[in-house]
Amino acid sequence: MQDSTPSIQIETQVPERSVWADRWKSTRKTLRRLWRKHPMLYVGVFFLSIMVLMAILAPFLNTVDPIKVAPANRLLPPSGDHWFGTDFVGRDVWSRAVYGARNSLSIGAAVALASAASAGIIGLFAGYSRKFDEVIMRIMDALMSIPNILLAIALVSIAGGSIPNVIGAITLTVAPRAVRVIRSQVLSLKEAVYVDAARAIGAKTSRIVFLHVFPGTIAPMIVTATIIGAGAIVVEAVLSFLGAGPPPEIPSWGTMMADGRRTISQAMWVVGFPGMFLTITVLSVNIIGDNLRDILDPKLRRSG
Amino acid sequence: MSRYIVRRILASIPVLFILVIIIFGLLRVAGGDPAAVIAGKDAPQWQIEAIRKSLGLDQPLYVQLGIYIKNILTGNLGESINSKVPVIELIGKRVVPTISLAIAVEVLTLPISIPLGIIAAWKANTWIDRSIMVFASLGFSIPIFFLGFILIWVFALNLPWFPAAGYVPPTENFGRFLHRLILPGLSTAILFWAFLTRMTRATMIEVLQEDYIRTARSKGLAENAVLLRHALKNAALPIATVVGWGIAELMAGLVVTEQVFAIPGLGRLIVDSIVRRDYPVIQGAMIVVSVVQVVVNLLVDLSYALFDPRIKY
Repeated sequence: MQDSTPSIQIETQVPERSVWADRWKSTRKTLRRLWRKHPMLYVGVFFLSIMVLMAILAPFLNTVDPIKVAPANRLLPPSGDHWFGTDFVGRDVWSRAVYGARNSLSIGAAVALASAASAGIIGLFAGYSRKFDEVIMRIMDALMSIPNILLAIALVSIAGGSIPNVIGAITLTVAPRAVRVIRSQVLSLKEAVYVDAARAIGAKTSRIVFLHVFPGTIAPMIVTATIIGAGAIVVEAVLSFLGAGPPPEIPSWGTMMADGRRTISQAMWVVGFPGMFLTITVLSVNIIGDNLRDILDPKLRRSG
Repeated sequence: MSRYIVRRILASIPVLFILVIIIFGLLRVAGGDPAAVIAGKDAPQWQIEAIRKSLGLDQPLYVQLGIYIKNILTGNLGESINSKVPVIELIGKRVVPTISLAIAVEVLTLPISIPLGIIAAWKANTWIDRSIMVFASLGFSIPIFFLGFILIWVFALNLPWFPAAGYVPPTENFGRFLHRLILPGLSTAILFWAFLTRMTRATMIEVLQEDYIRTARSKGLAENAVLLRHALKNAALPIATVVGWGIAELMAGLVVTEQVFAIPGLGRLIVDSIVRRDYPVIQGAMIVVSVVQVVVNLLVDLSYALFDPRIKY
């Protein structure tokens, strides 16, 4: 008995290990091919990872309490104690910038996910039902003709500046563009031969929608969600900058820059460092989005 | 053709209608009781009731919407809660700075980004193209207000070339009016510069692959004739769309620019009204800005039909 047990184990383990080895091999091959064809993708992923790591590890990165006021230390230039200097009430700019990454990245990701989910549902629905398509798309047109920053600040000022409200407001202003992308994709997928074939063998509409049409919308949805995420980070910063963002006790790059505006002639660092973090984050997400578009969906490339 | 124009104009009416409903509903339903806001914090109940009645707020919501739409059509956008000035008058005062800024942005964008886009497409996938696109990505990602601060810091605080903020009406001193538009114009232009360069490049690349370009080249035409006369002409329409998009979207960008450079435009009016919870002004200004966008979209669509004889409707 004892002799046969290990041999059984080997039999079950060997194919399993080789499956994973194969997968790893093909993943490595894909990664190498991407590196050759889309080196910028790696640049974007690299910088975004730094920002994400910073957001996660914020308490361990030589930071102090980001909202602790110390008037005696106001407007100190960058030094060993305060890497990015201090602002007009003596708060540590480095700590605030690092904690601000949490705010920006989580709002960006939440808006991207919420837009992708709602655009997926509404886009499938509009693309598949002639009756509701007209109505839904006119509502989307109307929402899109209100400049997104205006709509977002109006919504936040009405609903109050909490993080869920900010996420909801930004989603409502950017999701219509995603709905448009998904809907047009659904409209063209609907005419595909394999959808005709599925219908011809008597598949139910729900089966066609979820099994044959929905998978085709995933690639453009990922690309759109990435670009929406980058836009959402900017809109959140603008909202905070205008005083219509999340509550002021949450460190946010936009709030920091609004605070730094009045001392810009003496202390550019209060505005400069959060602005730099914001730009790096948005740039890396945009680079990732651009490259994903080239990789996943060559058809979308035309739309600039 | 004229049938298409009529149909396209008719099609934008429901959009405008839904737009008004959204803005009306947003501020009326979610914004609380305007009568209580007008009456102030400690007003007695009877006073609130009286104001509610005088504003027609005791009517059912759809009647209120009807009245509101009727008022909009006659150019009456209500009056400001704070200053009691008609909203349309407030907006009228703020339009000139915003429009001048918008024109400044387009003037700073078009002569740079279209040639750059053409060059990038012509030299596609070379280092010239790549470096132009890197700058375009950067311009696309740098937030307007951050760029505004950098420009103020460099060109107003460290080099005394421009004033840091403020606005001079063109009627007062035209030279200083232009001078003060340059920094805010530049900080907003970068975004459109990036967008338009990418769009021009994408369209030109597509056009340059057409058969008639190969024909033109094989006839022995000079390269600039091929690019400008044969390719750019056919790429012009999609580029025009982006320019139109830019004019309307500019309104949103200018909200930020006006805040950074303390320019008393429409965007600042909206932000100030939001801070003061002056709902009639927010409502009115949002409707004006959105209607501008719908009209610009309409004009862009109509220009397609007008300029491209291949499009039949």
